[in-house]
Amino acid sequence: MTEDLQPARSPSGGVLVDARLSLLDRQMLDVDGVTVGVVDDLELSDVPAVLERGTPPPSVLALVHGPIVLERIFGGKRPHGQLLRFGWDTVAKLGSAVELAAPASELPRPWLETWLRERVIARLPGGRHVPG
Amino acid sequence: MVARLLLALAAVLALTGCGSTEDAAQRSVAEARSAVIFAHDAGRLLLNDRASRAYVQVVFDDSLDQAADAERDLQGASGVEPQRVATAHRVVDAAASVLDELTDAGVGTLDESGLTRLQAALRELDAVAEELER
Amino acid sequence: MKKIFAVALGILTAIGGFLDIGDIVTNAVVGSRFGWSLAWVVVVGVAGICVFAHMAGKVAAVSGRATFELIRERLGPRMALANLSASFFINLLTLTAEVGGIALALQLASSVNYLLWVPVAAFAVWLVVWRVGFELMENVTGLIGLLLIGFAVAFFLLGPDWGELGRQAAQLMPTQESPATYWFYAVALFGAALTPYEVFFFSSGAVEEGWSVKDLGQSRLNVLVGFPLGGFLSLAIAGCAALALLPIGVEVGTLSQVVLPVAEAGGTLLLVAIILGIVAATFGAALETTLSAGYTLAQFFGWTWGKSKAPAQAARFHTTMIVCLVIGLGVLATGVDPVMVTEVSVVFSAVALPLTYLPILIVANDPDYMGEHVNSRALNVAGQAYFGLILVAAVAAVPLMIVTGVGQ
Repeated sequence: MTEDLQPARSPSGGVLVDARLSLLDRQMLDVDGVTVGVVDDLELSDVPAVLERGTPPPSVLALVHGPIVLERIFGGKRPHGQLLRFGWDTVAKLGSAVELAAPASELPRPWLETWLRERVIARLPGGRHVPG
Repeated sequence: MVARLLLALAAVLALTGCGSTEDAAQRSVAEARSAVIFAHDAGRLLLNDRASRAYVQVVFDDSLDQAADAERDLQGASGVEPQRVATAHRVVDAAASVLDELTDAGVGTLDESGLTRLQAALRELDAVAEELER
Repeated sequence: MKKIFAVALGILTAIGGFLDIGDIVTNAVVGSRFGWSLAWVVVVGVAGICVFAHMAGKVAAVSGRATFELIRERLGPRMALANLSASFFINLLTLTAEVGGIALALQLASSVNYLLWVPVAAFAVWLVVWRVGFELMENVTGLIGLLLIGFAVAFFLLGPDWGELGRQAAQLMPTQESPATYWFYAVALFGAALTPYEVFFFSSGAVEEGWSVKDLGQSRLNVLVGFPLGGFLSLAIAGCAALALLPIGVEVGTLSQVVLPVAEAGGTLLLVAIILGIVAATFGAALETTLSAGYTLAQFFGWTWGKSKAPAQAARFHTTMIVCLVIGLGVLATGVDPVMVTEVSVVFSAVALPLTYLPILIVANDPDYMGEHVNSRALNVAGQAYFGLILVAAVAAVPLMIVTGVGQ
């Protein structure tokens, strides 16, 4: 595979990971290699409005997937109803995709996928069978 | 910048593209001619058992469409040079009506006399094409 | 033995799958109007798709990432969305052309109006996407598509006048057509040979079939042997039209005209074989463009995708494909001429090419993705030369289309 980046689990490790290059817009795969989303944004720990000396640096809490990507494209602010959080503690590896340590069934799932599956696709004949 | 380049390119091409000398009458005759030859050649293959009837029927349908297109082009062009357009109209209409009759009858009934009629239409088209050339 | 069989199967399906409605129609139109004087474009185009598909397949096999995932990673969401909009629209146009092509070919076989075949064709495409395994789908359409070799048979039966064809091929600009028309068809042929969906499909298919570095040899062989042989068939189609239609002044505007030389050369049997070959080739391409519609959207938005999963496991992916087929069906139901849709689609393919080509070229040189498999120096020289060519074709395409009134 590709050159692996160090998993940035330890806060004091000082490993440099370029968020824009190696995190944002990368696919997220579950433990079986199934795509479960794409990193649309990052959630950081709280940054106080007034930074005093000795304030601990912010850290990445979660990878965020959802329509927030539209803000990155078009700018502006809109309400965030449908954001999915993938906690940093589930990240197993940063490679050509972000590999997560959990199966898709234990990860958040977008409502549209669920709705289309239950209401449309699974109801059509053969919708639950693997082709072939 | 890119838009301006595109515009300049389009202008150059428009100038080079205007070299065509054909007018509407000539174009329509050429188109009708192509339709008649196409139908004739496919009809010949059918009579020689070298093409399926379904295919040749489609050929006749398509040829008829093409001849109808040629007629329509002439109607749009009747304002300029009415003499030439009228000359073209006569033969293009004649060719279209031969194709129309043969297509309507179905290629199952096609015989040598049908091909002869197409050849006659073709000769007329050729003669007029030559006349328009002058 | 089994291995030889697999290698041969890969090459044969690559040949049979190379041609689609765009190649078939554009080559016949060009042959009937310009003879072989645009043959050089086919040669240049085929070499281009070899370079391009080889890189895309290599990137997919080594990094496990398909083309549109990379486009978003490399260009960022804003550029990638613009890219997606253009690529998706053009793919939809190609999808419409392919479904129309199936219907036209079925009309030739049955003389039942193609409009009645359009819903049948679209439904059949959906059914295969929904139920048939990836490899079976590829192998069956590819192998039946090999019947298009009939064009080469017809070409030789017509007794080619090599001197005349050679003169046409050497003479760059025929006098009876305007330069703008000539260059318009040069761009159209280039776009027909290098359609972007081929790359979406090739790379996503590689991921679906779980290619790894050890499959690179087979991939290279499929591309470097299969595609040029497919290009040879393109030349045969143009050659048939040049031999049988150009001299009698028939300019190709319908699919029925494309196959007339075949009937003339080989009679009913060869005609039937070719029609079946066209059905298979357009059907295969309709499948590939339908899947590409799902692939591009799913990869941009991070949806679960894959034909080898149960549809319920990739609901948005499958819904996208259904919606696209319905849109294509709707467009064709208006009665718009599928041959016209085809001609427009190959020109827009040329416009969209740089959008897919550039990210692939960049990633193929990125050691973060490719490790030791980054492009060799020679491949990079070829890759960059082609990027220049693709850029010129893309910029010239729309002005040429407007000036010539789509090649009239």
